[in-house]
Amino acid sequence: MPIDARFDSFQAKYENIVVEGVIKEKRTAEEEYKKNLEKGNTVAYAEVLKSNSDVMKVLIGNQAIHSNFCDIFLHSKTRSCSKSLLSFRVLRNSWSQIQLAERHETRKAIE
Amino acid sequence: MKQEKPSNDEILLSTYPVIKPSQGSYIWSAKITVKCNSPITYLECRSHKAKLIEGANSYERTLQLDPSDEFQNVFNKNLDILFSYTDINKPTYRLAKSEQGFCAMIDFLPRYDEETLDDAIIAAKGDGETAAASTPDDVNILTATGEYIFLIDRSGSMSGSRLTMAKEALLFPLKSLPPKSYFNIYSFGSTYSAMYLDSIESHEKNVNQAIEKVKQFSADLGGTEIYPPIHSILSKQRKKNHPRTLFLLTDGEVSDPEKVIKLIRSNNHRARVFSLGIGNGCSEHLVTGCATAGMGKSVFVFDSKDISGNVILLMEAAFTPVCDDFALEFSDKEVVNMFAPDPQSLSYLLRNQMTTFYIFLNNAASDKGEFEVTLKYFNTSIGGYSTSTVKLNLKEYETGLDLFKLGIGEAADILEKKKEESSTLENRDIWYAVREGIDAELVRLSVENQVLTKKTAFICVVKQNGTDEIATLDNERIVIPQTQSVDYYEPQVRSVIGNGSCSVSSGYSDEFEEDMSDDDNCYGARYDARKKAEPKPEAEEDEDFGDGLFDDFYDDEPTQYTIQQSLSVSKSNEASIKESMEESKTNTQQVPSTKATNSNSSEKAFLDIVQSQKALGFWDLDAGILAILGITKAELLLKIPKEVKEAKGDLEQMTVTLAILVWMEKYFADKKSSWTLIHKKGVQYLKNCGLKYPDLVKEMSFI
Repeated sequence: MPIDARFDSFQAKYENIVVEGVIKEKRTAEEEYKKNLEKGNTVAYAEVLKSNSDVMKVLIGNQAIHSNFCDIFLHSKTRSCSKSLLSFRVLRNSWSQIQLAERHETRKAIE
Repeated sequence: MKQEKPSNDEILLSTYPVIKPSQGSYIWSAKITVKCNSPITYLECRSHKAKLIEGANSYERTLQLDPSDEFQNVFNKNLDILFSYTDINKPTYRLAKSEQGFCAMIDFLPRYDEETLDDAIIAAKGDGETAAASTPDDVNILTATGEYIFLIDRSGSMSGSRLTMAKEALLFPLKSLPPKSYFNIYSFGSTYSAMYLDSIESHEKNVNQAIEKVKQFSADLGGTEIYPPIHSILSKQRKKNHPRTLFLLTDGEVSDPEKVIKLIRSNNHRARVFSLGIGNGCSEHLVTGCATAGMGKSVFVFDSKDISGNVILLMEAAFTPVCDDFALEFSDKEVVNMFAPDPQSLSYLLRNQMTTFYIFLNNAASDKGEFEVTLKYFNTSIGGYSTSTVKLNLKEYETGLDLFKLGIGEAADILEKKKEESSTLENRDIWYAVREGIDAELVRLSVENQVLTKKTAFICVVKQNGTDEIATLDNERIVIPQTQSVDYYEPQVRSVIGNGSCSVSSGYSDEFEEDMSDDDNCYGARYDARKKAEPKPEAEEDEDFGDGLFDDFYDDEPTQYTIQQSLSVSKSNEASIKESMEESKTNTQQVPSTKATNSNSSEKAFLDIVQSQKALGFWDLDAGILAILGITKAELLLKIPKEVKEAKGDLEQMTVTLAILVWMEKYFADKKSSWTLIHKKGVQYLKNCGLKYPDLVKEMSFI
């Protein structure tokens, strides 16, 4: 990423529905992620790593049960480029280990 | 540069061109037109062969890439254009307005009075690290000012010819010092010492005295500890208008070069660092790292013959004029909320280096219609201060939030960087009208303007699933693996546990989560594990499988174990139906309490049933299934519709298949999406046997 890139948009596309992410204070966002995880909601979280600005951590909890993938879009701005786009597709099978772990936690929480 | 709306066949540089593949190769052909508000004085493509086309006037020039150059068809490097225009040293700005006020992004490119365009081009064409430190002819040693500090390694490893080389290396620069400057000499090893408490003027008497002292130096300071002396030097108050330059002469390595480099980098606005590596044993990483972090230059000498020339080369680079001691002045400071970075925290600006400020004004600024910003800085080439002023027209602005986002991001980065890196002197870094609670204020700005900083994060609730759907999660695990051909694994008995993980070789291994890509292995491994587990008491079995993600599949319910056991028994006796019946009876008797109860409609039972379906769609009748259905074999065969008894096919298989299909519909209607295909296979199996499932269902109400 360019050193002056500023992320200002995060979207998740699921079953042709695009859901816009919101920027919140980090602790608030973390708590909201955990709460939704426990409720069984499909929820996504993204932050820039403190240790390395070039790395963004994205968490997806309870990936949509009846959907095989979820598209994530990240938009950024730089002074030389008004908008650039990063996107990636989270495949259900390729994430199954992580999914299982998170689902397991969720299930435990419910029980 | 003026930005105009592009015509259909033009694109702005601010948007990425789309390069389409054509006949197996990428055709990289471009025509670049530069339009300026002031006459263009230089335009060159440095990366590709290009033809310069003069425009209708001096405000417009075009570069056309040469299509005959075959290498240009390979899109493998950046397009690099060097250009200049008459007003390049006049500050430029972009201004945006939101409900909160204004944000201005102002670019300053200081001008050196004696600098010619040729000097600037030579400097710009320099390579990487040395570009900023190149030495055009305009360096005037007699007028240059500065504070020059030499840091010489006197550790044990420097004894002999190396120290001689280093001492020699010091003579030349000392004699070359600009007359209006200051200098000092530090020695370091395990400890360090300074020749003078504070830097002294570089007049002849002082210089000669220092040279005599240097001649007495010996390598008697033990190991190599560079960090403490550098920290000490950087902590000292800088002399106003005398930019500080540090020359490091060393032959060794330090235990933590990164710590030294980081210290220099985080303080490179207090001193530029030039380094000289002596001999073959010195750390290249340390020497070049220090110079790069300190915006200087590094050289290595291996032969005493090289030393003089190389040191002077460093000195010349160090004399390159710089801008220093920056300050921002405003026509009305009362309306300024914040600006970043604070000019006092800026590093030296070298030739061709631009600096950008973001200035946030409150809405009261709009009353006067315009706002002046002046950057004041000390120019070492003239030994005096210069100013650049830009007048913001507050009536013409952008309405988007882009500038606010860039400015807030910049301010947040500066604050974060300050916390990460050890700074030896207190800096303001950014200026804010309310100094207290600035971190919280940045979070507020980040959230209000929706731009990510390290203190904020994106959160996105993609779908409200609710607990009902979560309850089906375990069943989801079974759907994918059960579509595999079961026959392939015959005669093995499987216990397929979702699309999760398993170990490949060890039945009792803790590595169940190791390999999840190979479902085949999963089946086999689970089979091995179960097989080994079979002779064990149930309590022990639970221990073996009772951790990790599989906990909930191996709770202490007996059903799972029973079905595995009976499946094995069933397979071993399939030659004889009669024997099988007897065996089934025996096993059924072993199933505790299930005989007398209704059918087991637990998720685990559902899992087991789904797993045990054969590839052709039928189920084998066994004790485990009977236990789940809550019926005895005799009872089932008694109540089965007569059409089944008369149909072609295995009676037990048809009977139990029909019963299971009804059982699924009756107890697991809410999971229909999971078992639809399984159910369909069963129905088709019955159809192949000449049975119509819908006609039989009403007679199966006893399930």
